[in-house]
Amino acid sequence: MNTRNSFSDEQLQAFVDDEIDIAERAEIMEAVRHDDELACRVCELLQIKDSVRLAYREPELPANPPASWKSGWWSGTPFRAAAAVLIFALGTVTGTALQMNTTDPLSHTGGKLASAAIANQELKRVVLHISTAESQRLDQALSDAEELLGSYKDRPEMVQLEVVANTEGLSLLRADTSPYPERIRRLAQQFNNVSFLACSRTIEKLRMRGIDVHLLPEARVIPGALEAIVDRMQEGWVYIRV
Amino acid sequence: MFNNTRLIRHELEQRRQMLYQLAYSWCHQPALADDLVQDTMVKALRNAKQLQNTKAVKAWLTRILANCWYDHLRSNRDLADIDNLSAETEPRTEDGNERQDIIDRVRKMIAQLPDGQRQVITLVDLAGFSYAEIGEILDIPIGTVMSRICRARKALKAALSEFDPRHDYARANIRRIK
Repeated sequence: MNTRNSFSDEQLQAFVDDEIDIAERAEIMEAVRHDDELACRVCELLQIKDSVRLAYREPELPANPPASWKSGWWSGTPFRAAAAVLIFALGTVTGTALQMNTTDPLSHTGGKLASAAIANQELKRVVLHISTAESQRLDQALSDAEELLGSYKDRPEMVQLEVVANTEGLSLLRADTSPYPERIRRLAQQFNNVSFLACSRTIEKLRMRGIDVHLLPEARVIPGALEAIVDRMQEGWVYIRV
Repeated sequence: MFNNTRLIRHELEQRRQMLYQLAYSWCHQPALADDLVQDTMVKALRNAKQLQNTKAVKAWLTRILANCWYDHLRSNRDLADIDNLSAETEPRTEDGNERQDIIDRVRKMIAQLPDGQRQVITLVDLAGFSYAEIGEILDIPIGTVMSRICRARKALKAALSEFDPRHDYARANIRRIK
């Protein structure tokens, strides 16, 4: 039989990760029965494994993004992601193979990019995903919505717009936090082809934290924002993330 | 394409928690983890046609997540700030319970591991991937997977030993493997 010195660290790692064959497994288990030090080595590995699982069993959910990364990350990637989906959706709808330029900074051209891309479609069906509470971004998103709906006010049947808010973005549709309740009211009154949808999961999380959520009267609650977005993407809607 | 898209959508619903857990363990920033998962969702649907083996969809989604993470690291390397981690972990109870101390310590230790080691240990311990699957996801040889796991666990062991030098936990659990 092997002694404890016969088993390398790699072998014991593979043992706790269930990466060895039955014969070797049986050999190690038998050795463990007679060797307390070997048993301790194995148990330490199991403890580490358990500790990693424990550490991430309940990962924190996004609530208040820290300012340290907000400016750098927020201004770049979501817009690239939005562009990717936008181009994907357009490619699907029009059958055109489009390439995405991931190096161009799109943060200052998001609205124009969206409008230009949308203009290539016949029927404009757009889901605008709001996941930030940043006032400047919300302002840009509402400006895009106003521009899109306004440019088709004589042919409203050509445009459908859904504004889906979740996580931090729910603040746009909350009566006590929305920076633009009047603009939302105007849009809803002026156009019947726009919907403002609030994610019930986000509402539930806020309520669990003791926050009483009151939505603007124009907002409608949906079960899950991401599910709704995936549904729309499958139906060929253009997705723009703010 | 349609079947793939439907499958991917189903898998995204099933695997969302796992993807978030992984993303969070890599970046330790809730909102960033959420962004990475959402980017993964978008790219998975966009590239549905590229999924060759539908049985390996979990690994395929994880590979996309890993690529999203690499993209983020490439463009935001200068923003990484491990010292801020403690401020983002769960608040401790007033009497500072031991469980939360372990969670904080392990998270901080994992955050300090090199990217490669951090990814490997979380892929095996949180997502339950085999070494071979991890090799494919990260495009590295199995030997590298094993050596990274080994180094990562040694570092974690040192951190946990410092926390509890008595090692009573290990001895108390010997029965588990008999």
